[in-house]
Amino acid sequence: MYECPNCGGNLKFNISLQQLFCAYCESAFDPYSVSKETDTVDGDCFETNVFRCPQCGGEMISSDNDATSFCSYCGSANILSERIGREKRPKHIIPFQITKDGCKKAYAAKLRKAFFVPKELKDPAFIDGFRGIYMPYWSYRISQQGQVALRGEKEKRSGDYVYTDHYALTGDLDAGYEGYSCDASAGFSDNISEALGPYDIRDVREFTPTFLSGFYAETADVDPEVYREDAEGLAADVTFDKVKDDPVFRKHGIQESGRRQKAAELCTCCKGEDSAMFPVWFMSYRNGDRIAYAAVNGQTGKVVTDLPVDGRRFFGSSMVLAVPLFFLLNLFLTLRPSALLACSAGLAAAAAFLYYRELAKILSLETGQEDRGLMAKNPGRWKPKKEKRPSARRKGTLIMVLWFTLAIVAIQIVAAGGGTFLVWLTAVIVMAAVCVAGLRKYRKLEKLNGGLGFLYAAGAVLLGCVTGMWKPVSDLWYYGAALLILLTVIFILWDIIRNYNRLAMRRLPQFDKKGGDDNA
Amino acid sequence: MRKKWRKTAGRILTCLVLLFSVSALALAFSGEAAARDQDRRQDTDYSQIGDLSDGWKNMLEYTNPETGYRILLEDDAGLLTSEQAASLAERMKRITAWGNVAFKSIDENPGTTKSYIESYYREQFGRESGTIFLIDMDQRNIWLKNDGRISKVITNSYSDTITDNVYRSASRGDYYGCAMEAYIQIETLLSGNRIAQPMKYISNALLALILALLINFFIMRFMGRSKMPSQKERLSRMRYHYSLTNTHAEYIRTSERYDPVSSDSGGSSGGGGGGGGGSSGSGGGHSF
Repeated sequence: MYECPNCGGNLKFNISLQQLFCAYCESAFDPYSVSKETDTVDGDCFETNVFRCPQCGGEMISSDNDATSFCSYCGSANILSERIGREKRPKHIIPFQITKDGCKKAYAAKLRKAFFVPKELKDPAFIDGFRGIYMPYWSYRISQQGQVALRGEKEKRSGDYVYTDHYALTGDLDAGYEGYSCDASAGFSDNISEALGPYDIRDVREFTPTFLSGFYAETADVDPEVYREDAEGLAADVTFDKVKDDPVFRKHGIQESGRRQKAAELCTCCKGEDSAMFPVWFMSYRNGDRIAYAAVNGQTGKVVTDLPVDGRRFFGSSMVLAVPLFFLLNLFLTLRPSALLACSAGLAAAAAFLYYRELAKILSLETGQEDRGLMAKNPGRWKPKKEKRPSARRKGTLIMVLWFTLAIVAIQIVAAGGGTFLVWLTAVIVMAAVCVAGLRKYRKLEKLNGGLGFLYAAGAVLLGCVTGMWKPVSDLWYYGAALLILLTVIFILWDIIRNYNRLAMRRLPQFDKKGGDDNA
Repeated sequence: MRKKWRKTAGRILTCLVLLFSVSALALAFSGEAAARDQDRRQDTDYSQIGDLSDGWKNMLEYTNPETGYRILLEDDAGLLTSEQAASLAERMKRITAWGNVAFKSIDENPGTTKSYIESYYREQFGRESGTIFLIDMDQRNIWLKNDGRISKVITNSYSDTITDNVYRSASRGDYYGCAMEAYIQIETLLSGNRIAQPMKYISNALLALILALLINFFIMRFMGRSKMPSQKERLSRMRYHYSLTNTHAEYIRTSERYDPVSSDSGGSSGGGGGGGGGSSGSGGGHSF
């Protein structure tokens, strides 16, 4: 804690004043004018309180001695353990510019448009749980200096031949970019940090620990090498867009190559990276073994939040919406039994495909494959499932053969109908593909709610095919098969919604730091 | 395992409840109309059979002097008795307020039922308002064809619904009942009332529910998306400088590629033939 030089009270950084402020004697001080002995230890380190969550192992630092009562990462309400630690001083910091009230207003505005989120997320008491956290970032410096060598091509036709003139395009380039930033914390999800940005680098100030007073901070634990190529790629893209507007280059048909080659052609190199701390208002919402994060950019006020769905709200509003849709459909839609059957099969295929996409995304999210920071820090974290057993492989092959046969049969059935041919063909192919690929994804996922609705749908579509082949006189067969397929479509959609929270929310974090409870 | 089964059973039960609710809704919708149909049937006096004592030669023709529209009854397949024909004619007479009415049965048809009824309509009524109910014993189809004022009310979908509603009588061999029921439903619709369409309501209710779930799902996905910053936005928050000088283009070589011009690209296409006559009006049918 920083003591007030006047009264000895606790000085905290005041966002509105952009100064350290004493709530007791109402004095304000420039952050650089106040310091304590522990602010500089061994040259580039500073001493601070490190709080660790006993459940997830997540660590946060704070200059305050007040023990925190819950963990922002996993949402657990345990008293965090505290120790004095030494942390490396970042070079820069962007101080908070959005107040907590501003943050709450921005978040509330965003949630007004989210119809299906649980009620608790809109509760003012819950929204008050936003915490100001300084997140570590790497800020890259990219230089492009030297003679660029690019290719140009111009085509002209003469009779049956096309002639291409090739040119070597050269020029002296002097470009530089400073401030491409990527989060340096493995615990801070890449998709949140990327969407939360960009921070305006022109507001950076030299770091001093007094800025952290009254806030929390994360420490950098991701190697700067991880995002260096991204920074170089961005610089190459931006420079190329400018270079191609050069009159000489444009006239001679400048050719664009891949990102890596483009970066090399434009003499791109990273001159280094600076560690920085950027402000984030952060909040977590825990529901069972899942957690949702909400983050507000402490400089610009941009809101990025996971939006979990309240199943009851979703189905309730869907039932309400179904009523006007029902009357609307009755105005213009009367499907013949055979058309209804084909239409149902098409819907089943579409729903199964949507479900497959969801499974693929869940798998990608669960394994952290989209979070490069997390993967780089823990390359062996996710262990793929064991190689499939031969019996499972045989089953997969059998399903493929079955669906291939079914596809041929379906083509023959609908060929006579003509109009429904395309619908049946698409439905059967999509269902077959989803069954094979979806089962693979399904096996890799644990604790999935239901999840095999697409197999029921495949069975129902099969029955629909048989009905189409049989061509019974009585419409009841068609209606029966169509209604069965439509019910399986509702099953699939039900599964999609129930599992949606696995996409919208995250697994409880495990930071692999000493003290974390792996079973949390 | 037991829990899983209980869950599955719960889902099946919920679906059954859902199906039951939808069916109840549909029946409630159709019930009123069906009751009205029943009332109309009771009002009909089937004893007023026309005088066919001269002999029923499987053909009857009558013109309504008030409207000028005709009734035509041609039973080539011999499906009706004289009493049935008279009763049917009596019912058909009511429809002459809106247009011509015909009943036709055939037992030989080398083409399709649809093409037969369309040519028969043109032959008998031309482009006048009318409706024809055909029983094709060769193809085992019943078909309804309407045109003019009648087709504005008895649309394709209503034609389908009517034939869907009456085909079971034809399957049982009750051709008179089948035709009578069709004419009753035609008159019901022309009078501005509704006919029973339970399966339409059931399937539309399920489709509406699925559509509502899909719409809400896409809204949810759309709202849950985080907008990534654009390249322009990123650049506006960075420090950068850029200069390109001494630009120069040096000719290296010319390569050639054989790429023949497509032979049909410059040709003119022949004029398309006139479209087929096509059919106007509305219609629909069902096998039995």
